[in-house]
Amino acid sequence: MTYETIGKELIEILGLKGSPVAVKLARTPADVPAGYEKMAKKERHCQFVQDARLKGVTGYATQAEHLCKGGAAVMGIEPSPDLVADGTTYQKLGNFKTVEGAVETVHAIPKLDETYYASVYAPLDKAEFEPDVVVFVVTPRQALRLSQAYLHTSGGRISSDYSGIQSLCADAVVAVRQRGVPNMTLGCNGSRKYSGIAEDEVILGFPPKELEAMVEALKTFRQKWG
Amino acid sequence: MVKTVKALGIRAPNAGILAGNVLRSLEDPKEEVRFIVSPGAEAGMDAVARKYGYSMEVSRLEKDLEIRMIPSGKTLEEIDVTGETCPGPVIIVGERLSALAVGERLKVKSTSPDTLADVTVAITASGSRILGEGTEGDRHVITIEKGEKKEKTGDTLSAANRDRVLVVQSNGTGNAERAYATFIFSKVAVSMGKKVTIFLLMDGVSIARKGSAAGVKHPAFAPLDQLMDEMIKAGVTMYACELSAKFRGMTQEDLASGVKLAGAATYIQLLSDPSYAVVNF
Amino acid sequence: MDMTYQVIALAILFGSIVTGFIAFRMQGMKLAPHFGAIILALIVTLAALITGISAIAVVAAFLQVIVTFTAYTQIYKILRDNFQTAPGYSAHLALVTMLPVLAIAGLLM
Repeated sequence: MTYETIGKELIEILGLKGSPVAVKLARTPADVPAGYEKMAKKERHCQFVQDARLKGVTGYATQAEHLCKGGAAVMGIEPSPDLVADGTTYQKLGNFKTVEGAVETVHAIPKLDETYYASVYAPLDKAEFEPDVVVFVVTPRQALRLSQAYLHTSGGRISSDYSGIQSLCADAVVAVRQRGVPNMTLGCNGSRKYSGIAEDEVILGFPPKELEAMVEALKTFRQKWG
Repeated sequence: MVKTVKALGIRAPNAGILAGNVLRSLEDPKEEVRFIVSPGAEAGMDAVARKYGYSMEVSRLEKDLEIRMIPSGKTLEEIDVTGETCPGPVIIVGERLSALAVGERLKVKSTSPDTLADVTVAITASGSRILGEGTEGDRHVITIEKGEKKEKTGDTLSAANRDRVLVVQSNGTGNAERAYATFIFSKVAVSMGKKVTIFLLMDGVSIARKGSAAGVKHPAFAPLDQLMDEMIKAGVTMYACELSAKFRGMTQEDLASGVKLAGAATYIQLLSDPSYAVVNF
Repeated sequence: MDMTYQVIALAILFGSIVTGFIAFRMQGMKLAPHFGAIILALIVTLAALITGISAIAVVAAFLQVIVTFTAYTQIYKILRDNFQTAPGYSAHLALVTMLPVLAIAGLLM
C-alpha cells in the first residue's frame, strides 16, 4: 500500500480531523525530498505539524525556520540552549519546583545526538518521501483505535512516556524514531498554546512500517465493532 | 550492529514493556540493543530478555545504567595477532575497529601481553574502551568496545588536545629504514585517529621525486611508493621543503602527485602549533 | 701479463663484499645485479690468478668493469638526491671505482 492509500484510509476509517503527518529528519540538504521548499514563516515544530495536518502544507524547516529552540534541539537541528539544558528555563517557567528537578527531566528527554539539517513535513497522503515517524493528533477514542490496531497483530501492551514538555518534538517524533515503537503524549504548554492542539486531542507517533497492518486491523474493527 | 535506545526516567515495569516492544520490532533480529535507563528500571528486564531470546548484561554508565541485550547465539568477533610485529597489531585492530559501529565489540588475542598493552593505548586514544582482560590458554585476551571519538570542544590549542602528528623526515631514499618509518609511523597514527602531516626536508625530498619511491623496497614491506600512496589516500598531508628540493634540482613538476612544495614559514607554523606532536626520523 | 693488478682487484672485490652488504642494508636490502656481478667477478678473478690463463684474466677484467657499472646504475638516483646519506655509500663506491683502472692496467701491462 502506498502512503497515499494508507493516509486516505486512516482518515476515512477513523474520521480524522485533518491528516496524519509524515515527519522526516534530513541529515543533509541532499536528504530533503526534491521539490520541497522551506517553510514560508519561522514557526515552531508543533505548528509545522499542525499546518501539515490541517492545511495540507508540505515543506521543510532548517535551523533558521525553527522558532522554538527546544524543539529544534531535541531533533538535532540546533545545539541545546544552555538555559534549557541546565534546568533554568523550565524551572523559571514553573514546570519544576527546583532546578535539580528540571535537570532530571531534561536529562531524560528523548534527544538525538547526531546533527540534522532540517525537519521535513507533509500530510501522509501527500508524502513523497519515506517518513521517519507518522504523527497523529487525535481524540482519545481515535487514539484507542490506533493503539488497538497496533497491538492487533502481536498483542502485548503499549508503554508511553512523557513529561509534559516538548511533546510533539521529543515524545512524538524523536522517541518513536529512536525506539521504533509508538509513543503517546499529551501535548505541552507550548504546543497547546501556539499550535492549536484542542482540549480533546492527544498526540501519538507511530513508526511508518506498522501502518499497513494497522489499517487492516482498523478495517477488521470497523467490521466487528462498527 | 548495535542499536542504542535511550529510555531514561521510565520506571519498571514500563521500561520492560518498552524494551519488549523494541526487541519485537527490530528490523534485524541479530542486532544487539543497548538500553540506557535510569537505575531501578532494570527490574523485570531479564524476563524480557529471556522471552525474546536475548542474554542481558548490565553495566554502569556514569549515573545511568546500560542494559545490553545480546541475541543468543551471537558470537563475539575475535582477532588473534600473535606473531605480528609492531605496528602490525595496532593497524590490524584499528582497521577492524573502524568497520564496527559504536557499541560493537571485538576480542583481541595474543601470546604477548606487551602487544595488547600497545593496542590498548591505541584504541583508548581514539575513544574506545577495554571491557575486560583475561587469558585463554596461552593467549592473553582483551575485549574492546568501540566508542565514539570524543569531539574536542573549546580550546583546541590546549596541550592536552594533541590529536595531530607532524612527521619530520630529513632522510630519503638512501636510507630505507628511515624512509619506511615515515609511512609506517603515519599509518599507525592514522589508525589511532590522529591527523598526520609529513614534512620532507633535505634528503627527505628524494622520497617525493616522481618514480624514486618505487625503487625503494624493504623485504618486510610493500614498495615505498605504495605506502606513500596509501597514506595520501588516507588523508595525510605531505609537504616537501622548497629549498631542499631546489638544491636537488626539483620543482613542483618533479614531485609525485599528492606532495606539495612548502616554504620555511609553513614548516615553522606546523612546528609552533601546540596541537601537533612532532617526531623526527 | 702482470698479475699484481689482478691480486689487488681481488683484494678490492673481497672488501666490497663487506662494504656492499653494509650499503645494501641501508638501501633496503634490495638484492640486485650488482651483487651478482661482484660474486661473479670475484670467482673469475680468483680463477684467473690460480690458473694463470690470460683468457680468464681478460674475462675477469671485463667483469670487474661490470661491477663498477652496475654499482653506479643502482646508486645513481640515491647519489643524486641524498646529499646527507651519500657518504654512507662512499666506502663501497670508492672501492668499486678503483676496479676499472686496475682492470685496464692488468690488460695493458
